[in-house]
Amino acid sequence: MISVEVRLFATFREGRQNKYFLELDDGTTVLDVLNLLNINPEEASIILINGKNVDVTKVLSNGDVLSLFPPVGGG
Amino acid sequence: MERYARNFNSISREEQEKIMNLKVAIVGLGGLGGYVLENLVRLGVKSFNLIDRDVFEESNLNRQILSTEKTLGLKKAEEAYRRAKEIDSSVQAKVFSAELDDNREDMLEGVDIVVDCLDSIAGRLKLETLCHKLNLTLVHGAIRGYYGQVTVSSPQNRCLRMIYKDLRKDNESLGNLPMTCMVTASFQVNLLLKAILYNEIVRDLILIDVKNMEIERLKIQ
Repeated sequence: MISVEVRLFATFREGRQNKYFLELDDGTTVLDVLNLLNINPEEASIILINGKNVDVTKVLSNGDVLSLFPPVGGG
Repeated sequence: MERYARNFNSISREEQEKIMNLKVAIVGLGGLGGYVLENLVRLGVKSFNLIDRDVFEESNLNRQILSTEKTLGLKKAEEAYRRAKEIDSSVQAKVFSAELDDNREDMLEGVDIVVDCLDSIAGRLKLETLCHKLNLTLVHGAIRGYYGQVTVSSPQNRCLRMIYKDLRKDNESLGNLPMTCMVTASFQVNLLLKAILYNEIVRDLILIDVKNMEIERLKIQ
């Protein structure tokens, strides 16, 4: 098992918490976390692990901080 | 200079002169653009290119400072110029009531800096392309619901493509709130001042959460 902190930003916070501390199976990917939080992968414009850009196939490690951002486009 | 007495001494007289000699393009004169214009005219900017293809609609009344029941149906860019002149009769503007496209160099000709107040991701990406062609700094702002974001797309760091990737739509169901517009527009103006007065280009994406009153800065790589 691994412990991961997930931080959500902007409109991803609607109907969800701003932060989650998750205990996950080894081998869990970003895509698995998106599915767990009911976030459409096509709506995640920026995905960072510990501040670095990654894609949805990235496997998470113990202690990672995963940050997820939607596109924001109104004015 | 009595008009600007309350700008001093947070802004020096030399800085005030710089502000008064600026030429700013505001692209989009809705929720963000109206407040950006209001801020800039009151700060002392005298010269603008004002660009918006739309007319005011009833659904603009919740947040767009240039919209009133009397201005419904009027062109946003023209109304923006009228408002600016009402505050400061010496303001001059080129008004474009047309859509900005990446081949409309004429719309940004001669300006010192550009402010992105558009309402679509596709429009923003076109604007960044046009600014890149013209070597112009672009102050970005966008909102949705309670959330806003600002950053600067400079000739050395064209970041909007990094922020939006190939996504063209966001969650429009959350609408656009007036508090978010006002805060985000004010941050854009502050980024513009930093760029113009101190040559300080903010590279972080600044995320504004009006609901929780939180501001976070994110490095975009």
